Amino acid sequence: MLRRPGPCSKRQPLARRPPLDSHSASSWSPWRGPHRRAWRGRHGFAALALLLAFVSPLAASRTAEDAASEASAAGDSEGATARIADGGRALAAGDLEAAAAAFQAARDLDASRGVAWLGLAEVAERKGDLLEALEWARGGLGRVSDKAPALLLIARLQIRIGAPREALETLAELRRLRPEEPAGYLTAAAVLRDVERVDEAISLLQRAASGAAPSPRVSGQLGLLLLEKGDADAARELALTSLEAWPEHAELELVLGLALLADGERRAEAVTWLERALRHGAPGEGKIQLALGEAKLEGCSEEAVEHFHRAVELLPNLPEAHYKLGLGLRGCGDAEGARAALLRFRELSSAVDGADHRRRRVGSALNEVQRTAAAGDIAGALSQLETLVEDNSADDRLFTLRGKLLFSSGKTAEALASVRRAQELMPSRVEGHYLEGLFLSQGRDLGGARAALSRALAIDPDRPEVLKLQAAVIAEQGDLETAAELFSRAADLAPDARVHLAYARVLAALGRQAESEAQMRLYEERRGAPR
Amino acid sequence: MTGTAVRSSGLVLLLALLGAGPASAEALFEDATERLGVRFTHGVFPSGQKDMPENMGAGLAVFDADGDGRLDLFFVQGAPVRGGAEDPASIAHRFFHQRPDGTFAEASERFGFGSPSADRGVGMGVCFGDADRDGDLDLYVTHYGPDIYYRNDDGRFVDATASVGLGKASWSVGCTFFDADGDGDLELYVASYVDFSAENHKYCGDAKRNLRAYCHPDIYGAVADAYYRNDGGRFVDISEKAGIKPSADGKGLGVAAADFDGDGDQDVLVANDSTMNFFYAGDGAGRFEESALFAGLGLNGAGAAEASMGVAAADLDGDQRLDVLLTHLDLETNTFYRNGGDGLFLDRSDVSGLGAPSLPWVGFGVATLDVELDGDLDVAVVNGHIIDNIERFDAERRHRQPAQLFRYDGKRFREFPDALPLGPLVGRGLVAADLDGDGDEDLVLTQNGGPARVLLNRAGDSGASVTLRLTGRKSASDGFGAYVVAYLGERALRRELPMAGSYLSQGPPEIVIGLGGAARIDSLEVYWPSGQIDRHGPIAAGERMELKEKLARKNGAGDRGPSAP
Repeated sequence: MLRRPGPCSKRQPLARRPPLDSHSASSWSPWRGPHRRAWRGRHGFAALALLLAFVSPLAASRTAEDAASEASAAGDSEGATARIADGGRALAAGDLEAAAAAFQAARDLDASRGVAWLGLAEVAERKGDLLEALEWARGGLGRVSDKAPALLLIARLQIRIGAPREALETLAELRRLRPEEPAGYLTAAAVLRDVERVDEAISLLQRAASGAAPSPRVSGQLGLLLLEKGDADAARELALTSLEAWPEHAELELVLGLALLADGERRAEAVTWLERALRHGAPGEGKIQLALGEAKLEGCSEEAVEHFHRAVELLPNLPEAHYKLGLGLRGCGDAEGARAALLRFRELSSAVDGADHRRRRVGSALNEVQRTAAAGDIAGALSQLETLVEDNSADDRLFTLRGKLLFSSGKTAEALASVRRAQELMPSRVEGHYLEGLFLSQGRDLGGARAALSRALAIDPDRPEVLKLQAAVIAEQGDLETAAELFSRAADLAPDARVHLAYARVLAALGRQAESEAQMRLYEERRGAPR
Repeated sequence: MTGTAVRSSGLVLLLALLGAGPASAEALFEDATERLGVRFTHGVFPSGQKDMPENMGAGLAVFDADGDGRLDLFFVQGAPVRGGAEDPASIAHRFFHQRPDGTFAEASERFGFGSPSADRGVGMGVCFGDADRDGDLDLYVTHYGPDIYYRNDDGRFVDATASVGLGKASWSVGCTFFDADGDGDLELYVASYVDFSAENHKYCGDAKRNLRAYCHPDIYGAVADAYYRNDGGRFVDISEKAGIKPSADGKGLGVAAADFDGDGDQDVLVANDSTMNFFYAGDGAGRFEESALFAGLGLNGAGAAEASMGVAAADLDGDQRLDVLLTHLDLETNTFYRNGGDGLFLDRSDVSGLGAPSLPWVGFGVATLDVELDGDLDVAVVNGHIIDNIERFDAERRHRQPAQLFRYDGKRFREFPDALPLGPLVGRGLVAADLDGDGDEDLVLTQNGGPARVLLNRAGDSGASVTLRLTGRKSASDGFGAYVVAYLGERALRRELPMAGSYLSQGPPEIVIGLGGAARIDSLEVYWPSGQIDRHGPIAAGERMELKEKLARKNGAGDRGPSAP
């Protein structure tokens, strides 16, 4: 069992945040959803390839190799360096328990060795506890000199828990520190694409390709994104130019093949390039098989049907593969085979479509609940929520809102249970952890509140509300230095009178009188004229 | 030569022979709305509650209402969703009669549209046909609220809804008259959208910011479409018996009827919003089998349902097969379904050139026309977002959007930027029609909450064409369901007789064939829905002809494919 990490490291704020609100405008994307997927389906290569573009940093293992050399050179077999080396070896061998014990021992010997924290993060990640991994990684980040591997690890964890906005900020920091590192661009582009910001993803990769961090993979991903945007001409030109610099690069060949597919006159060329890409190991064979089938589909084409069959083998749960196979078989007069494939398609796609529709309907219903609550009818709003929960028990938004309403009705225990259920359903949502921290702090369970808020800050360290509350909780616990640090960050991110006042009081208690007075002045300014 | 030569334009022929070059972008179309006196503004009548019917309309019809040989305009008007109109005149559907000089006079009152009841529903779409077989065109206007059937009594339109058994009361949208059972009279298909009502209205948008938006159709359930058999001028709802899906899993908007699968009878394609489209394959006896998935018309090439709005059916790639183009929401392509034969359609949006340029826009009305009379069909699309305050949710998107013109170069469509002198619009209905009778097709469009616009085609002035009107005898009297194949040297051009389609709209039953520099059509085949194939020709450039279905013999019935001359 791993011991929990300590408080998060201090880091530079990157951007102001919107207030915590799972139903905010940013989360309500009108008339998107299934439609977006419809387009994605047609140009879905980027997602597959970009996922593969995410290079595992193995932050701890890599540094552990250095540690092993260092320990060996120093003849150190007992110190923290040696333990780190042991942990790295165990991690590489897949022995997670031994790795955890070694990294923990290294941390106990010398808590300033950030690589031990990163090692613990990797162990937690491999065990599937992503939030704990994030907490360890954040602890390690402040303690290592080379921050790039740690940042990449954090970004990966943020992506895995479904926190893209936070991952983007981490990756921005990575690019600031290491502008020549392609992974900082590639990964961010993948995330941007997944949050519907394709133009930004393209701009980012264009910046990398044109000088900051040129690489065939950057050009390949850029080409795929251009295709997704419908600019086949630009993708084709990019692929041709890039192939001159990096001949036989599978991803570039894939881009060229796909770009040529959009030209009805050059389908044969497209097929040639797609086949080359396959031979050279381009990612996403199933999708390439679909593209090859599409390229050859005209009337009845046995070859096209073969490609679709292969795609179905590789991607048995992809509705599109079954759909294309069905139409291919239909073109060849195999009505029975076509019906079977299309039936399978319907089975697979109806589950996805149903979830999309349900989520949209719940979103609308939540608006109604909020309006009821805003009108002062909390009991009515809770009653509406109960009905919704019956049919949508996997929608975290319902439990989050229910938690808020229960808490406002004084039912703290039930409120806690509700937000914890929301966390189970969507662990990446900061709000659930924040609300748990808020509810617990009101009940004076400061330890529990601190743990919940630490999880929230591990996901996103720049949420002013969370920072303020965590600072207050930690101050109550008597750790004034840490509280001051958190108040400082909160004041930087979202200055307001109450933060300055609380910060001033903590600084005064620490004996930092001049700083405290400065904060008091800020407090007076923000508070406005005295009543 | 068979048929009646109505008019011939020597100037057009002369210019064609002189080989005048293509017009510049600036000269392709002229915005003649004001000059022609077309002053119609669609009213939204916002309740402030973002009631869905407000933002979906409305369509238009272009047809010769009184048989004077000139095309008139009918615009569907909105109305308040809640409560009646304070001024009933403000919700009247508007009719513009074309004068001999080509300008239009507002004649709603005179033609019977001037005095609606104050609580009439919100106008949506319109379709027409000679439903009572008396030689003129009758109108069916769909509403959020009861629909209205206007019988054309010698140029005056009379609300005869109840007397013919029509008047669907759910939220109707697209409709089409067509001869489903081959008896020569016109059946009626009416698509329905969703089960929105003021009573079950939902709040969509961002309640915390008090920022309300029109709801996505997913929020509401679907409503079953209706199919009416024409029994001697009286309509009978036989939807379920005929095979129309009662399960109501489609949210219909645009509708088109044609012989899509080439088996000699009329089928129906329903553009459904966010649900799989319906393709009702007809059996020629008035029954249908829904087979969109099997025909490849239900979903896009990736197997995804799209937010289908408008529909165009035409031989867009020149292979003499009827293709389909559906317009869609932004971030979806307008999807081009190429007819591969044997009733199978494949999504070829990318290859066609029609897909990618449509991604940023919300497409509604769509029209096919040969802009420069070069023998290739081009495509016009009007766009406009559904959410009137979309900018407040997404700074990159706009409510008003540009219209687009795509020209076919023989291999693919290429967008011709700024070809339509319109600026950003909230486009909805769109119809191509030779309004000024100069041998090329012009464009008329409607906006949601904005003025209708008329664009006269100037690019076609330098080309040559033949214009055809068809009169059925065994087939429907207005020729609905017929198509022609014109042979010009090595070229064979298939053209459909226009019927209802686009977005809730219908253009005139006239076929304009651009000759692409040829001086004449060498021969012409008319494929009547009765199975009759008539042959005509040669036909000189500039002719306007009325072709009547021959009754003497039945050439090659069942052989639906065009043959060499």
